[in-house]
Amino acid sequence: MTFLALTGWQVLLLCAATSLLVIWLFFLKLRYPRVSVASLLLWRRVLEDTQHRSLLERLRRLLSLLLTLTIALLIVLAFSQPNSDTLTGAPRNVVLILDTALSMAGATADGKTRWLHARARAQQIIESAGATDKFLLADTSGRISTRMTADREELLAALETMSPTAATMALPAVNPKVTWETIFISDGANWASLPAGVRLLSVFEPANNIAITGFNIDSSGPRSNARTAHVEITSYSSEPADVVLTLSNESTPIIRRALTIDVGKTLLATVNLSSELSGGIRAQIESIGDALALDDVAVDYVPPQREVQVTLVTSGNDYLETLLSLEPRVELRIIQPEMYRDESTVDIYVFDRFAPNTAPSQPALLFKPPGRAWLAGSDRNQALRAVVSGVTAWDESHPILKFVSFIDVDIRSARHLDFATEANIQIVAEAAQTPLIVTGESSPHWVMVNFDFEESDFSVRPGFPIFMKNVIAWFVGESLTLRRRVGMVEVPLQQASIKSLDGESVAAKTNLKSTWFECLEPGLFVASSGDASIHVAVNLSTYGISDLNRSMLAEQNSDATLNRRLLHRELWVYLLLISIVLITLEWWTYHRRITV
Amino acid sequence: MAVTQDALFDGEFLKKLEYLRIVSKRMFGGHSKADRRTRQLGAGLEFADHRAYAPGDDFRRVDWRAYQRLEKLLLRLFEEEQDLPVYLFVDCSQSMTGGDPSKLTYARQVAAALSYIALAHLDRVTLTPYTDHLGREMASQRGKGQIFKVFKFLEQLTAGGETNAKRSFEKFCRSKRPRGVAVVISDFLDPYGFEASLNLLRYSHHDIFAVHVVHRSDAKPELRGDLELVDTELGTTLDIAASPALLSAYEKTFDEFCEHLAAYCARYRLGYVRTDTDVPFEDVILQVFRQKRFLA
Repeated sequence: MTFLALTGWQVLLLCAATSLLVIWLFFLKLRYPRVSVASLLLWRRVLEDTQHRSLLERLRRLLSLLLTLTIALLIVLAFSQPNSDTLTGAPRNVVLILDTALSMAGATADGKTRWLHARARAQQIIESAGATDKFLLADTSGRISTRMTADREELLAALETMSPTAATMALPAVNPKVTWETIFISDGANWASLPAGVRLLSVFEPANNIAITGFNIDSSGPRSNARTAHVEITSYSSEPADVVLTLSNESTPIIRRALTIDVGKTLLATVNLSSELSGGIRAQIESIGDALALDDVAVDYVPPQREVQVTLVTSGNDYLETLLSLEPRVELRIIQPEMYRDESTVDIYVFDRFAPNTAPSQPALLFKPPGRAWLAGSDRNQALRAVVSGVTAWDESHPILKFVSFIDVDIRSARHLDFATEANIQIVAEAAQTPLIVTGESSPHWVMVNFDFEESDFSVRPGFPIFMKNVIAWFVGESLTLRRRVGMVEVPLQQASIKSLDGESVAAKTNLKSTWFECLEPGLFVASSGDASIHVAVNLSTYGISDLNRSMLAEQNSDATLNRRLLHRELWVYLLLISIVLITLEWWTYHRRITV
Repeated sequence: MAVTQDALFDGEFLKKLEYLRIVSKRMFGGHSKADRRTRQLGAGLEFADHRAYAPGDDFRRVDWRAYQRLEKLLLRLFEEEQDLPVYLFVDCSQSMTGGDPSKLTYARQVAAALSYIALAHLDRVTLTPYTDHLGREMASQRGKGQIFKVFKFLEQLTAGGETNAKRSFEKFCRSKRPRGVAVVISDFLDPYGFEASLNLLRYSHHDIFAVHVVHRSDAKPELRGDLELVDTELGTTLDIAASPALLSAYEKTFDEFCEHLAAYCARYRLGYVRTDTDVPFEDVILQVFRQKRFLA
């Protein structure tokens, strides 16, 4: 037995001193209140009768002394905080980490989830720990981490607040100066390796899961007015599964299709949708024995489309004329540059190797324009020509380059312009520091393509029609739907307010460039900031999460406890409790004159 | 509390007292003529017997009617009526103090009343205080006129000292007093025991009445907690923890003590009266004493 506050001989000395003090106090003659009586003759007779009634009564003074001495020694020992390895165990510092990856939400054969098993194990460990054991409870998302404490209630309360989340997974850092025993409870689905010395407790259990691993509505197909839903369904099941796919638009079913998917296969379902269709589209699969519900749902958003008045100002460009005339929503008018007049009835101007002297009142797409003052970085003095072999960098996040690929696009030459850094000017594509596509972000927008069709093969690439669609959509204010994964969702709008499609506000944080909000399950949101608004489709669509059987761990092991200790609290608590019981006993017996 | 006539008795009460007289179970010879029958023959009014005439006898006592019938000279004998010696022993030990009224005050009131009753019937009253020795007694008084002397004497009695009735009564018995009624007014809390002292009076052939004065604090002490009891006479102390059980045991012991005293008196045909100081004094004299056949 050791004492945390005092050494052994100090405790012995203290006990001896306490015993002497108690005995001295016990025999110290207290002066009772004096009361005169006529005679003590009868009193003595009474006391003689009662005092010699039994052996216990003759010994009660001794009993009383022993009781008092025991109480005093128990209190002294309690204050010296003794510690017994046998009873309470040597003190340990335990870091208990729970894996809060979404794969932990996977169902198990008993109807629970991996997470519930993990939490039960953590609770078991905490409750079976010794009185002097201290815990630091943390999750892998970094959201919850307690202080190092022996307070079981605090730990269990923190455990209750944990749940699987889509946040980035990482093991918490601990103080290297302290000797820790690290226990990690996980299904092993998201961990390729773990630091050495970590004790792993597995809650892994094979599970059958069918997941939607991809979903989007494509409105840029060969028939431009058609919309096609692409649903990618993957089986992580050990047996073929019958799946029912349902697409619905604002709770109204659009289509319901029964599918069969083989073991380990991925199935791509394509569904043609009406061109009139717009709004939130929800894809859902149903299968028997599915282990994870989160990846059974996916959402996307189809913005409504309207007719656009486009005026092409060109001396002759077959590519542009053909492309724009084939666009069903575009009502095209072609004029010569000298016929150009700025008109408010036009929605979009497309200038081919021409630019007006003053900025038009409507958004404009310019292909290799001559230098003008309203165009940033223009070659007002002399155009420099740079020879480039291809696009080296482009901003995929910009609305006009959504789904546009510049890989293998050949550009023989482009104008080399020096751009002053301006807040509302953005270079969205460049080749060897030569700006290729520049956008004017302030209203009205403009897009300047800095190379000619004859100098590149961009116009014959599949991405060009998409580029044109994107530009038109951007000009008329139709934002493209952002597609994000569950977890912390970033929206490239400053100070944006986030609402679900139902109109419910979602708590969000903002920084200099974007707004962040947390989304733990698939859903559609609208981010609004000033005039701009973006629809955000949040889906799980993460292969690593849906594949519940991809684990580095074996199945559940049953040893979920620390070495079991006889006492669950520190020894001083029990000593103090016993002393309180004895004091109560002394009080009770004293008032009944059993003790003195 | 001073024992004065005004304090003790009003006129009505005195009248009632005059109708009472101390009952003696035996006949005792006194010194003076009075209205108590004695075994002696003399000049009383009550005819007792005849005896043969002897020369020198008073001719006036010859029963001439008997001579006429029997032709013998017979002398008529009459019972002598004398006074009754009444000895009132008042316990003046320290244990008689305390309480309101104190046991001593109560004892003095009882003694005064009994004295008045005795004096009213021409009995000879001797008041004797005692503690561990016999105190200065009041000389024998006779006649109602002496009652003020009795009051004055009782007023001067003070409590103090231990109780040792045996030693006190030894001295009394050695003084060869005429036999009479001996009334002992005491709490009988005698460390040497009451039996020895009463035996002494009994052996001296006095007609004994024990008047046991009891205060509420003796019978049912109202004590609580840890206490140091002090014996008022001896000054000795005793620590007790006054629990209900202990108090109950004490009350039981006290009752046993009273029963023991009563049983002793009954065994030897001694008069015994227990008077609680809570009981009004008049009730004790007019009712309790009469019920116990101490007064008639």
